[in-house]
This record gives sequence, structure tokens and C-alpha cells, in this order.
Amino acid sequence: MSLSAKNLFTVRPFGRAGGLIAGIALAAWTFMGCGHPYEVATPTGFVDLEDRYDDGDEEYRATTADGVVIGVRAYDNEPYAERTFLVRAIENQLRLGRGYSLLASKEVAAKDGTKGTQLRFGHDEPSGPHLYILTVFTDEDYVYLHEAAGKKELVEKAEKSIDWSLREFRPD
Amino acid sequence: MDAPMTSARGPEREEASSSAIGFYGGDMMAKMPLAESAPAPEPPPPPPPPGSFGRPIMPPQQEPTSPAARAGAGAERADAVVIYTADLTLAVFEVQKSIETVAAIAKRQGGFLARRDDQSITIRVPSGHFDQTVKDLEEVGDVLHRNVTAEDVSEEFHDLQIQLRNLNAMRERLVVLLAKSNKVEEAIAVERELGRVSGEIDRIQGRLKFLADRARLSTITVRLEPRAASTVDKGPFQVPFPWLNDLGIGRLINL
Repeated sequence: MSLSAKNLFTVRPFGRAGGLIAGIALAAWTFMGCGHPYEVATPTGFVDLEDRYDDGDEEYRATTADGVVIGVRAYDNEPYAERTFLVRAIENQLRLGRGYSLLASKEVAAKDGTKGTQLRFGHDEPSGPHLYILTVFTDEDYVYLHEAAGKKELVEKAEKSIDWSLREFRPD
Repeated sequence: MDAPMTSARGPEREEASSSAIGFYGGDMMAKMPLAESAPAPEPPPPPPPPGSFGRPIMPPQQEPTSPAARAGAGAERADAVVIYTADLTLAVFEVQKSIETVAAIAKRQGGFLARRDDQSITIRVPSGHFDQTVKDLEEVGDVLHRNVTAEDVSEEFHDLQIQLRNLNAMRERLVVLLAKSNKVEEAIAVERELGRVSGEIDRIQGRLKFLADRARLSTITVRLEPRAASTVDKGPFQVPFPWLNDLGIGRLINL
């Protein structure tokens, strides 16, 4: 007999209470394991902060001990916008409105081949120059943002790990 | 990314072709930059060929003596002396690194570093490379302020050359007079006048050298501000995507 929500409630291997507990566990597994509309892997040297920042924005966040942070978020693509439109909006927001320097821009691809645009920004923080690497993917349902940031020299050292994280990223 | 322009450039001028006094090296630029707040000037005189200061070049006709005559001849004068200066303020990422970039641009254009401090740098480049240097510098960051001037000092320069010529001739005559003077009082008087004329010659030569140097090498001062301290465009158009406000370093690394 296959394990399914219906069978758990009908078979009741441990009685009525056991079936209820199993049903709740199955539902909890469903929400915790499949909360993010994307798949992401944590690179070596980073620690996954798990659900600490998953506040409804479908957010993933991982950090090194030195403070290089990778974050992934997904927002409803509503109203629907193409990636090129959103990239332009992001540039305007960060460059013109908040003093970020756009250092480079390139096309990238996620693990399943979904095309994205990576923007590399520099920003002088009180503690020194920082880098902010933002990669944007879109599909019909979501806008996916893969971010990495930290002190410039630390981000440059962690660049291979950040690139690996991006290559392992996959929208669902 | 193109840096947003905070002020528009004026119209550029065509290069005129003619011989002129050569006191600075390099070709005069084809397009003369204009002062941002100045009205459009008359078409510039043609560029001078390369040459060295101190070598007098006589114009083909006799020098006009009256101001009106000089004004009339000025329009056709081919020996222009123009001093180019620029003052730029840029918003950049990593100020110190950007200062090094500006110094490298000066060196690449055949110039050198004249002065630098923590947030500004002054470079001097051959006048023929002025326009290209300013363009290269504007790529270093976002232009917050630009002031470009072209000061025509031809009139002063040529007047000084005429004065120098006359004073040199006077000095030669005074030397002859001194040699011929028999009385002590005469000799003292001639020597006094000789001293005055020599001093005047030195002063004029110094001024000519200063003007020639300023015209040969343009002066560009670049002030650099961290981008975080300034925004290029206060209040860009905001599209209706609230998550745009959550972008950036602060939110991400604030664990």
C-alpha cells in the first residue's frame, strides 16, 4: 500500500491519534521541504541560516565566518515584467538613487539553463569598499534574486564559491 | 553604463588650418571645449604648429600699432595662444583607486601629475590631448560638476613680444651709449636706465614663459567624492516593485 495522506488517515496504523499525528507530520514535511520556489545549494565555507529569514519572501541566506553573505529571494512576478525591464529598474534604483557603482554586467545561466543577468556593484561603506553581486532570473511566476555581498577583498576571495552557488541555483 | 550628464556640452568647433607661433608641442585639438557658463565664442584662430618658446616668429606683415588695427588684424592672426583648463567633480567607488586611475590617464596622454591630496588631483597634459583627456576622465565616475574654459591670451602674448623686442633694441642702444659715455654722471645715468630696462625685460620674459607653459600644457583638476556620499540623481523614477527598496548591501549582510 502506498504512503499517501489519504491512506494515513484511512489505514491508521497506530489508531486514530497515530493517523492524525502522521498526517500533521506529512503536512509539515511538505511545507518545510518545499517552501522555496527554487533549489539552492550552500557552498563550502558558508553556513545555511535555514529558515531564520524565511519570512514569507521565500528567502534563503548563508554566510561565511568573515561576513560574506549569499541570499536568494523570490517574488511574485506581478505585474509581469521581462528580465531586461527589471535589470534596468534595478540599475536606476541602485546607481542613480543610492550611489552604487555598476562595475560590470554579464549574462549567466542557472542549473536548468534559465537565463539571468548578473550585475556587479561597488559601494563605499563606512568600513570600506564593499561589493554587491546581484543576479536576476525571471519566469512567468516569479522574479528570483541571487545576491552576494561583503567587504571587497573578502568577496573577491569567495568569488568561486559565489559562482558555484549561482551555477547550482535552479528555479522550480 | 553611461554616466548621467549633469550639464550639456556646448557646440564643438571645426579646426582651422594656418601657421602660427609654435611655443608648445603637440597638435592643437580639433574641437575646442567651451566654458559651461560662457556664451558661444567666435570661431577660434587656427592652431599653432609645434615649436619652442624663445624662438621669435615674425608675422608676414608689419605689426599693427594701433588697437583698432590690431583688432582688425586679430581676426586673421594665425598665432593663437589659448590656455585650456578644466575642473571636474566625479562621484566614484574607491576614491584612492580612482586618483591612481586619473594619474594613469595623465601619463597615457603624455602629461604628468601636478598636485594631489586625499580627494583631489591636478594633472597637466599637452593641450592637443585636452579634449580626449577630459573624455577619459569622465569615464572614471559619474560627473557631478564640469567646468571647462579656454582663455585666449593671444593679445597679451603678442603685446608682450612686441614690448620685449623693443626693450631688447633699447638695451642694445644703451650698451652702446654706456661704452661711449665719457663722464661718470652720464655713465651712472645710462647704467641706471640699463638696469631698469633689463629688469623689465626679465619680467616680460617671465610672463611670456608662464603664458607659454600654461598654453602648452592644459591644467585639469579632478575632485573625487565617494558615491555613497552623493547621489547622481536625487529621486529617480520609481517603478511599482516594492522589493526594489529591499535591494542592497545593508539588508543582506545585516544578520
